This record gives sequence, structure tokens and C-alpha cells, in this order.
Amino acid sequence: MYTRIVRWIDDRLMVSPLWRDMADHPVPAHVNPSEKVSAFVYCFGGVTFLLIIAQFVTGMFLAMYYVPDIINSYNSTKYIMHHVLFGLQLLSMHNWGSSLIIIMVTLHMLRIYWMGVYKKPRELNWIVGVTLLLLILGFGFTGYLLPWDEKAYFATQVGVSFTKYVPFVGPALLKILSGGSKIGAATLTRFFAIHVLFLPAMLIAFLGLHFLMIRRQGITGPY
Amino acid sequence: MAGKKPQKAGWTRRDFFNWMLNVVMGVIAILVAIPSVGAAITPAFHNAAPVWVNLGAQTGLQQSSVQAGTGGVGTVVKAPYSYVEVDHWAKLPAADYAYLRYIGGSCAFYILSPICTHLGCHVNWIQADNQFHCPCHGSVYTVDGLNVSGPAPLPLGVFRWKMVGNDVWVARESTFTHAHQRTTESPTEPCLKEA
Repeated sequence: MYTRIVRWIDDRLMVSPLWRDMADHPVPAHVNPSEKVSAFVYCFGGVTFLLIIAQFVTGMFLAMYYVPDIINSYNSTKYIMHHVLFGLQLLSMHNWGSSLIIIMVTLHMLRIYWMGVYKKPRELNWIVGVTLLLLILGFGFTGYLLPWDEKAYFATQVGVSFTKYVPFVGPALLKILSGGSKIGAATLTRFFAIHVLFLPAMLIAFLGLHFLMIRRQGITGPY
Repeated sequence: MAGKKPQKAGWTRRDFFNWMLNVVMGVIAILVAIPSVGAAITPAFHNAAPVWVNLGAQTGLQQSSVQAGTGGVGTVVKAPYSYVEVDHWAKLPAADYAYLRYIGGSCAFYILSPICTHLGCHVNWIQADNQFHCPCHGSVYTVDGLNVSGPAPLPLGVFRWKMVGNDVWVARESTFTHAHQRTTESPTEPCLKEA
């Protein structure tokens, strides 16, 4: 059955070679954990990608119940925790997954840094990678506010306050980031839009670039 | 695989790792899918409990029904009520009405849902015709709420009600029917009074 479906599609679009090209792509022996266990350090990027997919899925389902509104966001979050089937697990996966991603991207970046593989000709991919790190920190920062509990509120207050110290444009930046002169309804909707629309779009674009470049340039050993 | 013996045909090392990879990815996918799908299908497992709402004092309701009717026989009057609607995480003040008629005897009140059984519009009580008319698609119901004309497939719902002190309370059920949905046209004046 499966083979027949694949053949039916291949007769028309020939996608199998594309898939095989990705799945069977050889990697150097020294980056293969089945050859050398210590090569697991080369998996941090891939693990991050898996976690990102899990965040996308859990986030989409959380959005079925969550309301980005100062009256209802706390209550809808509580509703997810107490009344939705596996809602607490769903919320926790999204919550813990975000922390895991930050740990994994940090490890990934440290591996790249220590091995010196950001050097020519891979500088562009390093730049894209650092951009991805900033995007992921952006996800963490904006997502933290969404439950609209006390911790979220004051953590965001502290976080946006840093922008005050930017020379010249600081006060304006603070207002733009918080959507007004205080953390309130406009901050919540702004952070929600950034968290579920702007950042995912940019993340997908930059991940695409990241993968295209690594495929184009190949994996290089430690220098 | 440099420097290794050639692989035997059959269950190769490569096959094993492929299989492992598929199993691990499958387990991850299932772990993500369980709470996700669970959250999505939650509404199927939630059954809303009826909300008891206060229509007001029994004497006042009885008087208004009798005064609207002729010769001491009560007729249909609108009995408005307000309540707090608990809509998932949101609590909102809400208001609606029931159609109440004093019928005397041990049952005293016959309380109909205003929701048309066709597509859920609120029906109007037309005193001159002694009928309910639905403004949406022209369904017509008798004074007892039996569907006699138009697309309505069922009679109007009947509220379960009870006395709390001197007040009449009715059980507001689903948003779609408001009241107990009659599935047949048999009892014209069912007594749904509860102790």
C-alpha cells in the first residue's frame, strides 16, 4: 500500500530522489555518533530543530484556548491547566520545551565556537545562526508574558526596562516595545502577535537559510 | 564505514539504525500528539450542567399571566431573566427570556423555551393568533409549543422548573434549545415541576 502510494506520486512528481538525497546524505565518520559516541555533540542543532517542531505543534493547540486579553488570558491559561484534556501536559511541554531549546541552542553555539567552524567560508551561516539565537530568545521573552500572571508581568516590566538605557532613542523604544507607557493590554496583544506570527515567520525563513547553507557547504571538522 | 568488513545482506547495521531512528521519531511524535489531540477534542467530553435561573416571584408571574389572558385563564407572557453565563474561562452577565403560562392545577406553570427547533431563532408570541411565530423561516407553534406549520421539526422545548422560596427557577440547558427538548409531540402539557 505504502509502496504503491509512493510509486503513484513518483510517477508524477519524482520526489523520492529528493527525499533520498536528504535521507541518505553521507556525513563524515567523525560526526557519526554510531561510529564514535562523542560525536553526539554534532546533534545539538538537529535536536533543537526537533524541539522547535514540537513547540510549533503544542503552540498551535494551545492557541485553541488561549486568549491574548488582560481579562481573559490568565483565566484561559488556568482553564487549559484544569479543564482541558491533557491541557496541563500540553502547556508544560510548551513551557519546558522552550527552556530545552535555549539550552540546546547554547550548546550548539558553543560547539560551533569551540570547533572554530564559523570561519571562512561559513561566516554567513554563523551570522544566520546568531540571528536564529536572537529569534529564539525573542520567543522566550514574548512567550513569558502570555499567561499574564504576576511573574510574567514583572519579568516583562524588568525586560522592557532595559531598553531605557539605549542612548537617545531609549524612551521611545521602551514605548514601542511595550505598546504604550505601561505594561498593559497593548503590551499583551503586541507580544502575542510577535510570539505567534512575526517570530515564527522569521524563524522558518532563517532556519531554511541555515539548512541550505550547511547543505551547500557541508560539515567541517574541528580546526 | 571506512575500514569495516562488508555488510552482510539482510538485517544490516544501517537497517538497524534506520529502524531505531524511525522508532524514536515515532515515539516523539506520539508524545506530542497525545496532549495536542486531547486538547483539541476536549469539547466532546464536556457536558454542560443546566444553569438554574430565577424568573421572579411566583405570585407576580401568575398575576401577569392571568392579566394578559381573558376570563381568568392565564396566557403566554414573556418572563425575562438575567444570569451569569460561565463560558469556559469567561464569566459574563447575560439575559434572556422564557415563555410562561399559568395553567392552574398542581403544575401551576407551563414554561416554554423561546428557541425555534428549526435553526435556533427566538420565536415571537402572537396573542391575536394564540400562536408562536418564528421570524426567521415562518415556523408556527401552538400555545402549547407544538409545531404546526413551517420547517420546525420538533415542538418547543419545555423548561424544568422548581420553587425556591417564593421564586420560580428554571433549568437553562444547552444554548441551542435552552430547555428540555421534546422529541415527540405526545404530551401537550407536560408537568416538569421539580421538588
